[in-house]
Amino acid sequence: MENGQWDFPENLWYDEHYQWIRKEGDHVLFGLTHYGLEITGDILYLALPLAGDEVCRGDACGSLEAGKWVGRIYPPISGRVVRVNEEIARRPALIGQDPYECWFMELSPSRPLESKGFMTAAALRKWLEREGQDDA
Amino acid sequence: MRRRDEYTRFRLLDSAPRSAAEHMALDKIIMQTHSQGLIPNTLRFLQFRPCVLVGLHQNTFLEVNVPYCRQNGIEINRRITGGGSLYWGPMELGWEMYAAKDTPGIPRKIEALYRLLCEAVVLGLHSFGISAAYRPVNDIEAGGQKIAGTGGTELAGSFVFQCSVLVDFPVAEMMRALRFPLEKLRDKAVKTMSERVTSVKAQIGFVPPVEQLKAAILGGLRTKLGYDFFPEDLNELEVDRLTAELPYFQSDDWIYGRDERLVNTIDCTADYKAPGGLIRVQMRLDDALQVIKYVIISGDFFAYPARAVNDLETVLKNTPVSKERIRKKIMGFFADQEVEIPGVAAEDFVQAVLLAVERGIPQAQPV
Repeated sequence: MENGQWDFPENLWYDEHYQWIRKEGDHVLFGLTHYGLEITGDILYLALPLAGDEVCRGDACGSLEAGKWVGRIYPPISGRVVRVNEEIARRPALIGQDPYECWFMELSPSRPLESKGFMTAAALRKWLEREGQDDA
Repeated sequence: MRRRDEYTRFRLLDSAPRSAAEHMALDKIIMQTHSQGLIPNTLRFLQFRPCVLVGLHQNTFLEVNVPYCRQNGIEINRRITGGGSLYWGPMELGWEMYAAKDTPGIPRKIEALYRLLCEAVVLGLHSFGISAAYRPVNDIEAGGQKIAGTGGTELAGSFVFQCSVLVDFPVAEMMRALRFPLEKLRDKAVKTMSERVTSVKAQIGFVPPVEQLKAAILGGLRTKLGYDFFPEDLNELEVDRLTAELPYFQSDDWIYGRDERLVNTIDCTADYKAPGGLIRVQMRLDDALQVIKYVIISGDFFAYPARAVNDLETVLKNTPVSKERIRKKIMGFFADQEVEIPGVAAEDFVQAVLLAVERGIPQAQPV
Protein backbone atom coordinates (compact mmCIF):
# COMPACT_ATOMS: atom_id res chain seq x y z
CA MET A 1 0.00 0.00 0.00
CA GLU A 2 1.35 3.47 -0.81
CA ASN A 3 1.75 5.78 2.13
CA GLY A 4 -0.80 8.20 0.64
CA GLN A 5 -3.39 5.54 1.37
CA TRP A 6 -2.51 5.12 5.04
CA ASP A 7 -4.83 6.54 7.60
CA PHE A 8 -3.03 9.36 9.44
CA PRO A 9 -5.71 11.49 11.15
CA GLU A 10 -5.04 15.21 10.72
CA ASN A 11 -5.80 16.02 14.35
CA LEU A 12 -2.84 14.01 15.65
CA TRP A 13 0.92 14.49 15.73
CA TYR A 14 3.42 11.81 14.75
CA ASP A 15 7.01 10.78 15.42
CA GLU A 16 9.67 8.74 13.62
CA HIS A 17 8.80 5.58 15.54
CA TYR A 18 5.48 5.22 13.71
CA GLN A 19 3.62 6.49 16.77
CA TRP A 20 0.75 8.96 16.99
CA ILE A 21 0.72 11.68 19.65
CA ARG A 22 -2.28 13.51 21.07
CA LYS A 23 -2.04 16.56 23.33
CA GLU A 24 -4.58 16.74 26.12
CA GLY A 25 -4.06 19.98 28.03
CA ASP A 26 -0.55 19.85 29.39
CA HIS A 27 -0.37 16.09 28.96
CA VAL A 28 0.37 13.78 26.03
CA LEU A 29 -1.12 10.45 25.03
CA PHE A 30 0.51 8.30 22.38
CA GLY A 31 0.07 4.97 20.60
CA LEU A 32 0.96 3.04 17.47
CA THR A 33 -0.18 4.19 14.02
CA HIS A 34 -1.89 1.90 11.56
CA TYR A 35 1.31 2.06 9.52
CA GLY A 36 3.38 1.02 12.57
CA LEU A 37 1.04 -1.90 13.11
CA GLU A 38 1.48 -2.97 9.50
CA ILE A 39 5.27 -2.77 9.86
CA THR A 40 5.30 -4.83 13.05
CA GLY A 41 2.42 -7.27 12.67
CA ASP A 42 -0.35 -8.18 15.13
CA ILE A 43 0.70 -7.32 18.67
CA LEU A 44 0.61 -10.27 21.08
CA TYR A 45 2.23 -8.87 24.22
CA LEU A 46 2.75 -5.41 25.54
CA ALA A 47 5.08 -4.41 28.38
CA LEU A 48 4.50 -0.88 29.64
CA PRO A 49 6.18 1.13 32.40
CA LEU A 50 4.40 1.79 35.68
CA ALA A 51 2.44 4.93 36.54
CA GLY A 52 4.85 7.26 38.28
CA ASP A 53 7.91 6.13 36.31
CA GLU A 54 10.07 8.81 34.73
CA VAL A 55 10.75 8.33 31.01
CA CYS A 56 13.17 10.04 28.68
CA ARG A 57 12.28 11.06 25.15
CA GLY A 58 13.80 8.67 22.62
CA ASP A 59 14.78 6.01 25.19
CA ALA A 60 12.71 2.84 24.94
CA CYS A 61 10.27 2.62 27.86
CA GLY A 62 8.36 -0.53 26.92
CA SER A 63 8.14 -3.35 24.43
CA LEU A 64 5.64 -5.02 22.20
CA GLU A 65 5.87 -8.55 20.87
CA ALA A 66 4.53 -9.69 17.55
CA GLY A 67 5.22 -13.36 16.87
CA LYS A 68 8.94 -13.70 17.41
CA TRP A 69 9.68 -10.00 16.97
CA VAL A 70 10.03 -7.66 19.92
CA GLY A 71 9.58 -3.99 19.08
CA ARG A 72 10.02 -0.99 21.39
CA ILE A 73 7.85 1.80 22.68
CA TYR A 74 9.51 5.22 22.67
CA PRO A 75 8.12 8.14 24.71
CA PRO A 76 7.72 11.16 22.45
CA ILE A 77 8.56 13.51 25.36
CA SER A 78 10.51 13.30 28.60
CA GLY A 79 8.37 13.27 31.70
CA ARG A 80 6.38 11.25 34.19
CA VAL A 81 3.96 8.43 33.38
CA VAL A 82 0.60 9.60 34.73
CA ARG A 83 -1.28 6.43 33.80
CA VAL A 84 -0.93 3.46 31.50
CA ASN A 85 -3.66 1.86 29.45
CA GLU A 86 -4.23 -1.35 31.40
CA GLU A 87 -6.91 -2.53 28.98
CA ILE A 88 -4.45 -2.51 26.10
CA ALA A 89 -1.80 -4.20 28.22
CA ARG A 90 -4.31 -6.99 28.93
CA ARG A 91 -5.64 -7.22 25.40
CA PRO A 92 -3.04 -5.95 22.88
CA ALA A 93 -5.12 -7.46 20.06
CA LEU A 94 -7.38 -4.42 20.41
CA ILE A 95 -4.65 -2.30 18.79
CA GLY A 96 -5.26 -4.16 15.56
CA GLN A 97 -8.92 -3.17 15.61
CA ASP A 98 -8.47 0.57 16.10
CA PRO A 99 -4.89 1.75 16.68
CA TYR A 100 -5.86 5.42 17.10
CA GLU A 101 -8.09 4.64 20.07
CA CYS A 102 -5.46 2.49 21.76
CA TRP A 103 -3.11 4.80 23.63
CA PHE A 104 -0.17 3.26 25.50
CA MET A 105 0.18 5.81 28.28
CA GLU A 106 -0.40 9.39 29.37
CA LEU A 107 2.68 11.50 30.06
CA SER A 108 3.17 14.69 32.05
CA PRO A 109 6.10 16.60 30.53
CA SER A 110 9.10 17.41 32.67
CA ARG A 111 9.26 20.88 31.12
CA PRO A 112 6.76 23.01 29.19
CA LEU A 113 5.42 20.97 26.34
CA GLU A 114 7.05 21.51 22.98
CA SER A 115 6.10 19.97 19.68
CA LYS A 116 9.64 20.11 18.37
CA GLY A 117 10.31 16.96 16.40
CA PHE A 118 6.63 16.07 16.08
CA MET A 119 5.25 15.78 12.57
CA THR A 120 1.87 16.64 11.16
CA ALA A 121 0.11 13.99 9.06
CA ALA A 122 1.32 15.76 5.90
CA ALA A 123 4.89 15.96 7.18
CA LEU A 124 4.78 12.28 8.13
CA ARG A 125 3.72 11.32 4.61
CA LYS A 126 6.57 13.36 3.15
CA TRP A 127 9.01 11.80 5.60
CA LEU A 128 7.88 8.31 4.68
CA GLU A 129 8.34 9.15 1.00
CA ARG A 130 11.84 10.48 1.64
CA GLU A 131 12.70 7.40 3.64
CA GLY A 132 11.50 5.21 0.78
CA GLN A 133 9.20 3.30 3.07
CA ASP A 134 6.41 2.72 0.62
CA ASP A 135 7.44 -0.94 0.47
CA ALA A 136 5.66 -1.65 3.74
CA MET B 1 26.13 10.65 5.16
CA ARG B 2 27.81 7.27 5.48
CA ARG B 3 29.15 5.56 2.38
CA ARG B 4 27.34 2.44 1.18
CA ASP B 5 30.29 0.18 2.05
CA GLU B 6 30.15 1.34 5.67
CA TYR B 7 26.78 -0.39 5.83
CA THR B 8 27.48 -3.43 3.68
CA ARG B 9 30.85 -4.27 5.25
CA PHE B 10 29.99 -6.44 8.24
CA ARG B 11 32.18 -7.29 11.19
CA LEU B 12 32.12 -11.07 11.63
CA LEU B 13 32.18 -12.39 15.21
CA ASP B 14 32.73 -16.10 15.61
CA SER B 15 33.56 -17.27 19.11
CA ALA B 16 33.95 -20.71 20.60
CA PRO B 17 30.83 -22.08 22.34
CA ARG B 18 29.83 -19.84 25.23
CA SER B 19 27.41 -20.23 28.09
CA ALA B 20 23.78 -19.35 27.46
CA ALA B 21 24.07 -16.43 29.89
CA GLU B 22 27.08 -15.03 28.01
CA HIS B 23 25.32 -15.30 24.67
CA MET B 24 22.14 -13.68 25.97
CA ALA B 25 24.11 -10.88 27.61
CA LEU B 26 26.03 -10.34 24.38
CA ASP B 27 22.75 -10.09 22.47
CA LYS B 28 21.77 -7.15 24.64
CA ILE B 29 25.22 -5.56 24.64
CA ILE B 30 25.82 -5.74 20.90
CA MET B 31 22.30 -4.47 20.24
CA GLN B 32 22.76 -1.58 22.65
CA THR B 33 26.28 -0.73 21.44
CA HIS B 34 25.21 -0.83 17.82
CA SER B 35 22.21 1.42 18.51
CA GLN B 36 24.63 3.94 20.03
CA GLY B 37 26.63 3.99 16.79
CA LEU B 38 29.73 2.61 18.49
CA ILE B 39 30.22 -0.55 16.42
CA PRO B 40 29.73 -1.41 12.76
CA ASN B 41 27.09 -3.70 11.33
CA THR B 42 27.88 -7.14 12.72
CA LEU B 43 27.18 -10.76 11.95
CA ARG B 44 27.69 -13.18 14.82
CA PHE B 45 27.78 -16.98 14.84
CA LEU B 46 26.65 -18.73 18.02
CA GLN B 47 27.20 -22.20 19.38
CA PHE B 48 26.06 -23.29 22.81
CA ARG B 49 26.64 -25.95 25.34
CA PRO B 50 23.29 -27.82 25.70
CA CYS B 51 20.72 -25.33 26.94
CA VAL B 52 17.11 -24.24 26.79
CA LEU B 53 16.13 -20.67 26.03
CA VAL B 54 12.70 -19.27 26.79
CA GLY B 55 11.19 -16.26 25.01
CA LEU B 56 11.19 -12.83 26.64
CA HIS B 57 7.68 -13.09 28.06
CA GLN B 58 7.52 -16.80 28.84
CA ASN B 59 7.10 -18.43 32.23
CA THR B 60 10.18 -20.64 32.62
CA PHE B 61 8.52 -23.12 34.97
CA LEU B 62 5.65 -23.74 32.54
CA GLU B 63 7.94 -24.13 29.53
CA VAL B 64 10.95 -25.96 30.94
CA ASN B 65 11.44 -29.18 32.87
CA VAL B 66 13.63 -27.32 35.36
CA PRO B 67 14.53 -30.31 37.60
CA TYR B 68 15.60 -32.38 34.59
CA CYS B 69 17.74 -29.56 33.21
CA ARG B 70 19.39 -28.97 36.58
CA GLN B 71 20.14 -32.67 37.03
CA ASN B 72 21.59 -32.99 33.57
CA GLY B 73 23.69 -29.85 33.30
CA ILE B 74 21.42 -28.21 30.74
CA GLU B 75 21.64 -24.45 31.11
CA ILE B 76 18.46 -22.39 31.24
CA ASN B 77 18.24 -18.80 30.11
CA ARG B 78 15.90 -16.17 28.66
CA ARG B 79 16.20 -14.46 25.28
CA ILE B 80 15.81 -10.73 24.72
CA THR B 81 13.54 -11.64 21.80
CA GLY B 82 10.04 -13.09 21.70
CA GLY B 83 8.59 -16.42 20.64
CA GLY B 84 8.63 -19.82 22.26
CA SER B 85 11.07 -22.00 24.16
CA LEU B 86 13.98 -23.64 22.34
CA TYR B 87 16.34 -26.48 23.07
CA TRP B 88 19.88 -26.03 21.75
CA GLY B 89 22.00 -29.11 21.25
CA PRO B 90 25.78 -28.84 21.02
CA MET B 91 25.72 -29.19 17.23
CA GLU B 92 23.11 -26.52 16.43
CA LEU B 93 24.35 -23.36 14.76
CA GLY B 94 22.97 -19.89 15.32
CA TRP B 95 23.70 -16.63 13.59
CA GLU B 96 22.61 -13.09 14.21
CA MET B 97 22.68 -9.96 12.13
CA TYR B 98 22.98 -6.59 13.90
CA ALA B 99 22.51 -3.75 11.48
CA ALA B 100 21.17 -0.27 10.96
CA LYS B 101 17.55 -0.20 9.85
CA ASP B 102 18.61 1.92 6.87
CA THR B 103 21.20 -0.59 5.66
CA PRO B 104 20.80 -0.95 1.87
CA GLY B 105 18.50 -3.83 0.97
CA ILE B 106 16.85 -4.11 4.40
CA PRO B 107 13.05 -3.74 4.23
CA ARG B 108 11.16 -1.89 6.95
CA LYS B 109 8.34 -4.38 7.23
CA ILE B 110 9.20 -7.18 9.66
CA GLU B 111 7.57 -9.89 7.57
CA ALA B 112 9.59 -8.78 4.52
CA LEU B 113 12.77 -8.78 6.63
CA TYR B 114 12.07 -12.35 7.77
CA ARG B 115 11.43 -13.46 4.22
CA LEU B 116 14.60 -11.87 2.86
CA LEU B 117 16.96 -13.22 5.50
CA CYS B 118 15.31 -16.65 5.60
CA GLU B 119 15.72 -16.88 1.84
CA ALA B 120 19.44 -16.17 2.28
CA VAL B 121 19.66 -19.18 4.62
CA VAL B 122 17.63 -21.24 2.19
CA LEU B 123 20.25 -20.51 -0.49
CA GLY B 124 22.96 -21.71 1.89
CA LEU B 125 21.07 -24.93 2.64
CA HIS B 126 20.53 -25.54 -1.07
CA SER B 127 24.33 -25.73 -1.42
CA PHE B 128 24.16 -28.96 0.63
CA GLY B 129 21.40 -30.31 -1.58
CA ILE B 130 18.70 -29.65 1.02
CA SER B 131 15.33 -28.67 -0.47
CA ALA B 132 14.71 -25.93 2.05
CA ALA B 133 12.13 -23.19 1.70
CA TYR B 134 10.90 -20.17 3.62
CA ARG B 135 7.69 -20.87 5.55
CA PRO B 136 5.88 -17.70 6.64
CA VAL B 137 6.07 -16.01 9.00
CA ASN B 138 9.46 -16.90 10.38
CA ASP B 139 10.49 -20.50 9.78
CA ILE B 140 12.55 -22.40 7.25
CA GLU B 141 11.36 -25.87 6.37
CA ALA B 142 12.52 -28.89 4.42
CA GLY B 143 9.85 -31.31 3.25
CA GLY B 144 7.33 -29.61 5.51
CA GLN B 145 9.51 -30.06 8.63
CA LYS B 146 11.14 -27.16 10.43
CA ILE B 147 14.90 -26.96 9.95
CA ALA B 148 15.52 -23.41 11.20
CA GLY B 149 13.71 -20.81 13.27
CA THR B 150 14.14 -17.07 13.53
CA GLY B 151 13.36 -14.08 15.73
CA GLY B 152 14.48 -10.54 16.32
CA THR B 153 14.15 -7.21 18.01
CA GLU B 154 15.04 -3.57 17.48
CA LEU B 155 16.39 -0.63 19.42
CA ALA B 156 16.45 2.95 18.11
CA GLY B 157 17.93 2.81 14.59
CA SER B 158 19.22 -0.76 14.88
CA PHE B 159 17.78 -4.25 14.63
CA VAL B 160 18.93 -7.79 15.31
CA PHE B 161 17.71 -10.78 13.33
CA GLN B 162 18.41 -14.19 14.84
CA CYS B 163 18.37 -17.60 13.20
CA SER B 164 18.97 -21.09 14.60
CA VAL B 165 19.78 -23.90 12.16
CA LEU B 166 19.14 -27.44 13.40
CA VAL B 167 22.23 -29.45 12.49
CA ASP B 168 21.95 -32.72 14.44
CA PHE B 169 18.91 -32.18 16.57
CA PRO B 170 18.21 -34.55 19.51
CA VAL B 171 14.40 -34.57 19.54
CA ALA B 172 14.10 -36.97 22.50
CA GLU B 173 16.41 -34.83 24.65
CA MET B 174 14.48 -31.69 23.70
CA MET B 175 11.28 -33.36 24.86
CA ARG B 176 12.84 -34.24 28.20
CA ALA B 177 14.15 -30.71 28.71
CA LEU B 178 11.01 -28.80 27.65
CA ARG B 179 7.39 -29.24 28.64
CA PHE B 180 4.99 -30.05 25.83
CA PRO B 181 1.26 -30.62 25.78
CA LEU B 182 1.83 -34.09 24.38
CA GLU B 183 0.60 -37.53 25.39
CA LYS B 184 2.57 -39.25 28.09
CA LEU B 185 3.57 -42.22 25.94
CA ARG B 186 7.08 -40.97 25.31
CA ASP B 187 7.87 -43.01 22.19
CA LYS B 188 4.72 -41.80 20.48
CA ALA B 189 5.36 -38.22 21.55
CA VAL B 190 8.91 -38.34 20.18
CA LYS B 191 7.57 -39.73 16.90
CA THR B 192 4.96 -36.97 16.73
CA MET B 193 7.60 -34.30 17.24
CA SER B 194 10.11 -35.96 14.91
CA GLU B 195 7.58 -35.61 12.13
CA ARG B 196 7.63 -31.84 12.64
CA VAL B 197 11.31 -31.02 12.87
CA THR B 198 14.28 -32.10 10.81
CA SER B 199 18.00 -31.28 10.72
CA VAL B 200 20.87 -30.97 8.32
CA LYS B 201 21.99 -34.47 9.28
CA ALA B 202 18.50 -35.92 8.82
CA GLN B 203 18.36 -34.37 5.36
CA ILE B 204 21.79 -35.34 3.99
CA GLY B 205 22.81 -38.25 6.18
CA PHE B 206 25.85 -36.72 7.86
CA VAL B 207 26.96 -33.67 9.81
CA PRO B 208 29.09 -31.42 7.63
CA PRO B 209 32.01 -29.53 9.22
CA VAL B 210 30.68 -26.46 10.99
CA GLU B 211 32.99 -24.23 8.95
CA GLN B 212 31.24 -25.44 5.79
CA LEU B 213 27.88 -24.59 7.30
CA LYS B 214 29.05 -21.11 8.26
CA ALA B 215 30.53 -20.56 4.80
CA ALA B 216 27.21 -21.62 3.24
CA ILE B 217 25.24 -19.14 5.36
CA LEU B 218 27.65 -16.32 4.55
CA GLY B 219 27.47 -17.30 0.88
CA GLY B 220 23.68 -17.08 0.98
CA LEU B 221 23.82 -13.63 2.55
CA ARG B 222 26.41 -12.42 0.03
CA THR B 223 24.33 -13.67 -2.87
CA LYS B 224 21.04 -12.33 -1.55
CA LEU B 225 22.22 -9.00 -0.16
CA GLY B 226 25.71 -8.30 -1.54
CA TYR B 227 27.25 -7.85 1.92
CA ASP B 228 30.88 -8.62 2.82
CA PHE B 229 32.08 -10.13 6.09
CA PHE B 230 35.42 -9.55 7.82
CA PRO B 231 36.45 -11.48 10.97
CA GLU B 232 37.06 -9.35 14.06
CA ASP B 233 36.70 -9.63 17.83
CA LEU B 234 34.52 -7.94 20.39
CA ASN B 235 35.95 -4.51 21.14
CA GLU B 236 37.10 -3.36 24.54
CA LEU B 237 33.83 -1.59 25.33
CA GLU B 238 31.78 -4.70 24.55
CA VAL B 239 34.05 -6.85 26.72
CA ASP B 240 33.71 -4.38 29.61
CA ARG B 241 29.95 -4.31 29.20
CA LEU B 242 29.83 -8.12 29.14
CA THR B 243 31.69 -8.22 32.45
CA ALA B 244 29.21 -5.77 33.94
CA GLU B 245 26.03 -7.38 32.55
CA LEU B 246 26.83 -11.07 32.97
CA PRO B 247 25.84 -11.39 36.65
CA TYR B 248 22.31 -10.20 35.82
CA PHE B 249 21.95 -12.65 32.93
CA GLN B 250 23.08 -15.41 35.31
CA SER B 251 20.55 -14.36 37.97
CA ASP B 252 17.24 -15.99 38.83
CA ASP B 253 15.57 -12.59 38.31
CA TRP B 254 16.41 -12.79 34.62
CA ILE B 255 16.10 -16.54 34.06
CA TYR B 256 12.84 -17.07 35.94
CA GLY B 257 11.50 -13.58 35.47
CA ARG B 258 9.15 -11.23 37.26
CA ASP B 259 5.77 -12.88 37.61
CA GLU B 260 3.64 -9.92 36.56
CA ARG B 261 5.30 -9.73 33.15
CA LEU B 262 5.13 -13.44 32.37
CA VAL B 263 2.65 -15.37 30.30
CA ASN B 264 0.67 -18.21 31.84
CA THR B 265 -0.33 -21.01 29.55
CA ILE B 266 -2.84 -23.84 29.55
CA ASP B 267 -2.28 -27.20 27.87
CA CYS B 268 -5.27 -29.08 26.52
CA THR B 269 -6.05 -32.13 24.43
CA ALA B 270 -9.08 -33.34 22.51
CA ASP B 271 -9.92 -36.38 20.42
CA TYR B 272 -12.49 -35.86 17.69
CA LYS B 273 -13.95 -38.72 15.67
CA ALA B 274 -14.34 -37.87 11.99
CA PRO B 275 -15.68 -40.36 9.40
CA GLY B 276 -12.16 -40.92 8.03
CA GLY B 277 -10.42 -41.34 11.36
CA LEU B 278 -9.56 -39.86 14.72
CA ILE B 279 -8.22 -36.30 14.96
CA ARG B 280 -6.15 -35.67 18.08
CA VAL B 281 -5.48 -32.03 18.93
CA GLN B 282 -2.90 -31.10 21.54
CA MET B 283 -2.36 -27.41 22.12
CA ARG B 284 -0.93 -24.74 24.36
CA LEU B 285 -3.08 -21.67 24.98
CA ASP B 286 -2.16 -18.27 26.38
CA ASP B 287 -4.52 -17.92 29.31
CA ALA B 288 -4.55 -14.13 29.61
CA LEU B 289 -4.59 -13.22 25.93
CA GLN B 290 -6.64 -16.24 24.88
CA VAL B 291 -4.59 -17.10 21.83
CA ILE B 292 -3.30 -20.45 20.56
CA LYS B 293 0.45 -20.54 21.17
CA TYR B 294 0.86 -23.71 19.16
CA VAL B 295 -1.08 -26.80 18.23
CA ILE B 296 -0.08 -30.34 17.34
CA ILE B 297 -2.55 -32.30 15.21
CA SER B 298 -2.24 -36.04 14.76
CA GLY B 299 -4.51 -39.04 14.30
CA ASP B 300 -5.12 -42.08 12.17
CA PHE B 301 -6.24 -40.24 9.03
CA PHE B 302 -4.17 -39.97 5.84
CA ALA B 303 -3.29 -36.55 4.49
CA TYR B 304 -1.97 -35.83 1.00
CA PRO B 305 0.48 -34.20 0.96
CA ALA B 306 1.62 -35.36 4.39
CA ARG B 307 3.07 -31.92 5.19
CA ALA B 308 -0.39 -30.36 5.06
CA VAL B 309 -1.00 -31.03 8.75
CA ASN B 310 2.29 -29.36 9.74
CA ASP B 311 1.42 -26.38 7.56
CA LEU B 312 -2.02 -26.12 9.16
CA GLU B 313 -0.40 -26.13 12.60
CA THR B 314 1.81 -23.23 11.52
CA VAL B 315 -1.19 -21.26 10.25
CA LEU B 316 -2.97 -21.66 13.60
CA LYS B 317 -0.10 -20.25 15.70
CA ASN B 318 -1.11 -17.11 17.60
CA THR B 319 -4.76 -17.33 16.51
CA PRO B 320 -7.23 -15.86 19.02
CA VAL B 321 -9.47 -18.52 20.54
CA SER B 322 -12.60 -17.22 18.87
CA LYS B 323 -14.82 -19.63 16.95
CA GLU B 324 -14.99 -17.26 14.00
CA ARG B 325 -11.22 -16.69 13.76
CA ILE B 326 -10.40 -20.38 14.10
CA ARG B 327 -13.00 -21.39 11.53
CA LYS B 328 -11.86 -18.66 9.13
CA LYS B 329 -8.22 -19.73 9.35
CA ILE B 330 -8.90 -23.45 8.89
CA MET B 331 -11.43 -23.00 6.09
CA GLY B 332 -9.09 -20.49 4.40
CA PHE B 333 -6.20 -22.93 4.64
CA PHE B 334 -8.14 -25.74 2.97
CA ALA B 335 -9.52 -23.37 0.32
CA ASP B 336 -6.02 -22.17 -0.59
CA GLN B 337 -4.19 -25.52 -0.47
CA GLU B 338 -4.67 -28.65 -2.49
CA VAL B 339 -5.11 -31.08 0.36
CA GLU B 340 -6.85 -34.43 0.30
CA ILE B 341 -7.79 -36.24 3.50
CA PRO B 342 -10.26 -39.03 2.73
CA GLY B 343 -13.19 -39.01 5.13
CA VAL B 344 -12.06 -35.85 6.95
CA ALA B 345 -13.40 -32.43 5.99
CA ALA B 346 -12.11 -28.98 6.90
CA GLU B 347 -15.09 -28.64 9.23
CA ASP B 348 -13.88 -31.69 11.17
CA PHE B 349 -10.61 -29.90 11.91
CA VAL B 350 -12.58 -26.83 12.99
CA GLN B 351 -14.63 -28.95 15.41
CA ALA B 352 -11.55 -30.77 16.72
CA VAL B 353 -9.66 -27.54 17.43
CA LEU B 354 -12.70 -25.90 19.02
CA LEU B 355 -13.21 -28.94 21.23
CA ALA B 356 -9.62 -28.65 22.49
CA VAL B 357 -10.06 -24.91 23.10
CA GLU B 358 -13.23 -25.58 25.06
CA ARG B 359 -11.40 -28.08 27.23
CA GLY B 360 -8.66 -25.54 27.91
CA ILE B 361 -10.72 -22.39 28.35
CA PRO B 362 -14.37 -23.33 28.88
CA GLN B 363 -15.46 -19.68 28.87
CA ALA B 364 -13.40 -18.64 25.84
CA GLN B 365 -14.60 -15.33 24.44
CA PRO B 366 -13.93 -13.95 20.95
CA VAL B 367 -11.16 -11.31 20.87
